[in-house]
Amino acid sequence: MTVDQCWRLSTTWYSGRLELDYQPQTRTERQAQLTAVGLVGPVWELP
Amino acid sequence: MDAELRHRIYQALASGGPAPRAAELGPAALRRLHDAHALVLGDDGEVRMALPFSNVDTDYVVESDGRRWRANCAWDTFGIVHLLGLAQARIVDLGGRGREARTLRVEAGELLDRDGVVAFPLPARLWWQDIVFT
Repeated sequence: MTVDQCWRLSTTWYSGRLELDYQPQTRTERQAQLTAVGLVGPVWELP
Repeated sequence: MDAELRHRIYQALASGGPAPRAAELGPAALRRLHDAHALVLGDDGEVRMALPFSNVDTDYVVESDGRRWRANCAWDTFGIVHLLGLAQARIVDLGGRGREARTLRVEAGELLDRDGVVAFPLPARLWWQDIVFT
């Protein structure tokens, strides 16, 4: 991915991790974040 | 209780310090968090990663206002900047493994240097099969 895509992706990827009641994002939510910055296709498909 | 433990580890790393030692935290609880991908233990049973933070020295460092954090990769350096809400930061890639050393700057919460690419050695479906290598 480009540095710009990586920067934009990182704005939300780790959100909430410092909170006591942190709940991991779902696969669907994660995949949507990848798609939102243009990372689509087999290489970017999460398990 | 595992949530409190996870939170304690993240608070320690976010403050720029190391994670507490496994003997202090409880190896069984740490293993549960590792299995849940809430953190990553090293072969020695100590906390190695609490993404985006690294608890061991790496090639990737974030510096801001006299403080310093270790990251696992380039992506995680950006994650630390966002997670901590750093308005100004210096992101250092020490280089190695085919990469040239590079420093990126964050000003007013924005990354100033956006050219280049971040390479991943594995496709996304395999990241957690070897997250340290990834």
